[in-house]
Amino acid sequence: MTILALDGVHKSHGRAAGAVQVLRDVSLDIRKGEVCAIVGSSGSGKSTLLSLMGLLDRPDSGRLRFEGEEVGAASADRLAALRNRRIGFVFQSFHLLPRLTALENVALPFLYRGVPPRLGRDRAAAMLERVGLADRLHHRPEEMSGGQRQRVAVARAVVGDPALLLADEPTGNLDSATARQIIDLFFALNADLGVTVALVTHDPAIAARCGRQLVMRDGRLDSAASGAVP
Amino acid sequence: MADGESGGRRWRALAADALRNLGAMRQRSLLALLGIAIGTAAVVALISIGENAREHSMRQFLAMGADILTVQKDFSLSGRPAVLTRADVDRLRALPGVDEVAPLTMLGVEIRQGRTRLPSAVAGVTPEFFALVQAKAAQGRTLTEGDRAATVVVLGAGLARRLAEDGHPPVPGGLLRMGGYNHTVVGVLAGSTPNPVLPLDVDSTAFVPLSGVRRVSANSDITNLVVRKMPGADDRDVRQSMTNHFSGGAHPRPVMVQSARQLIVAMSDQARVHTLLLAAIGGVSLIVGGVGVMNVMLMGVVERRREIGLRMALGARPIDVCAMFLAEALALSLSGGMAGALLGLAAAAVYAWNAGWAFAPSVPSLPLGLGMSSGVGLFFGLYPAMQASRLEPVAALRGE
Ligand SMILES: Nc1ncnc2c1ncn2[C@@H]1O[C@H](COP(=O)(O)OP(=O)(O)O)[C@@H](O)[C@H]1O
Ligand SMILES: [Mg+2]
Repeated sequence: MTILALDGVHKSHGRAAGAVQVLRDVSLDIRKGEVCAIVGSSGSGKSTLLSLMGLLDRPDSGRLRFEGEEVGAASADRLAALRNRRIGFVFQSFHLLPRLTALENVALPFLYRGVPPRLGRDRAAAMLERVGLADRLHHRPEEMSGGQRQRVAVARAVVGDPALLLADEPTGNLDSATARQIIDLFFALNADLGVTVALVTHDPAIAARCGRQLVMRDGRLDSAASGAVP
Repeated sequence: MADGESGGRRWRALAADALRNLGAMRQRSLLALLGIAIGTAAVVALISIGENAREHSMRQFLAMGADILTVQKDFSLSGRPAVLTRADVDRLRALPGVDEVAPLTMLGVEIRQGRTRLPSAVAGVTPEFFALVQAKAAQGRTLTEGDRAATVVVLGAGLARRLAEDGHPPVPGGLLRMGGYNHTVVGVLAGSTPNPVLPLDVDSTAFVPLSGVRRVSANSDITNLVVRKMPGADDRDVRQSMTNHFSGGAHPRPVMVQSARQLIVAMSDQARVHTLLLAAIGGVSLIVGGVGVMNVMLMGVVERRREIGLRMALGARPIDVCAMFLAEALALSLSGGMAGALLGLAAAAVYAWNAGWAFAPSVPSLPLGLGMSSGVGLFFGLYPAMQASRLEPVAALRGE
């Protein structure tokens, strides 16, 4: 079953004369429950592709369907609601709010759902426990290591029970041992919660662990190189 | 999406979020808060002071009796100088609605008591005058019909106090020298507040019998008439018939007839203008504070682009982001407004205490002050909030 489908998507950055074609005629399907790696050299358009997949940006042309719903021209509020309930993000630089504790950071998505704060905090605490940070609930990001911060970010991404988890170089700022643990966490969550995962990575070892690789080359999807790993 | 109940919870959670965010921008928030506080304090204090001043003068007026009218020669008109006569007194007294009329001659004379020489206002009056202006003797008595030909004087309380400064307080039976005659002090009046309707300040005047004025001055013409109307009579009617008395007949005389009502109207008009002016000054400081709020919020929007992007990625709608910044602006200006309102009331209380007025906190000034500060916060917070809500999630996340 397809959770996300891109069909002939184009995307350029910048205005008019200075516009740069970043994505050219990209078509792909993300299937429910898979773990998919997006690889490619720097500047090939991986982050741009991921932000389109996460409904953070709109394609210039082409079709974008999320869970069967045409979202290329959906309202900003509809996209926000889908991001809030159906999609989780993990970023290379964590993007935690520095003045909030781990618990408050993880509970943040519930703020935009109208979930009672207590219930939100309970679910956030449970998720922090799940990622192995039961003893760090009330620590602020500055009091935690990079690996711990990224765990908080992962907990925040999946606390709302999303269908799709997107990660843009989630291990880019981590040493290899910590990176391993984070990737392990993604696979565990994929197995436990059934969440579909798409992650951008430069690490061939990580890419090799994923069930499928999408290779970006100069704004195009290299379909010859892409595909399921044998 | 959010139903009614969870909508309410959502807003409460957003408000708590706003307060936490403000705490993070402590220093700059404090500056903007100070601006709003000063502006609100100014509005509240100035309105309270203005209101207290108006109440004070009204109370004074009521105390002195709004029943009094005065007649004064009008010098501004050319031609025959007006002459006020004893006949006018009788004619005015006969007018309907007039209760009592007292003629008055005003002079400036040097009073001597032993070695002390004191220039003072002296008024020649008839005995009715004292009852008419409700002046009572603290020592001795006021003037009577029997004093008509006597060389006697009654002293206002303030004048007596000044004469006492050389160590010899004037007492009934003592002597004062005025215009070459020794006048026997027969009474000292009780102290009173100045009555702006009257042409003289009772407290600082020496009173001699009207018929004795020629002993202290060459010119003993009647200069003013003080009139009390009947309690039930309409002062406008009384004033009109008095004016008619002087302007009618073969020889119209230029006089000014004044009533307490005119003074009250003039004074409260003036007080209203003052209050408005002062409130406007407060409003200007509020706007300055509002610009401060806008500044804090705009810098906050720039500094927190990544946070805005992240919140959008987590599902904040543009209106949620807008509400977040508006709530912060509102929280900022409301807390400034509350501090300012208290400060303003305290300032007004100190001012009233200094001026010797009764202090009553102006009731409308509080909601007005708070309303103005939150209005200013919302108004000046709207632009930064709109800026924030219009950010594109991707661009904001990159911190551009
Ligand atoms: N906001 C932008 N304005 C202009 N060019 C951009 C913008 N964002 C990305 N690009 C350009 O688009 C290309 C692809 O960027 P990106 O998707 O970040 O690639 P990757 O993540 O694979 O490194 C790059 O050449 C980059 O310079
Ligand atoms: Mg990238």
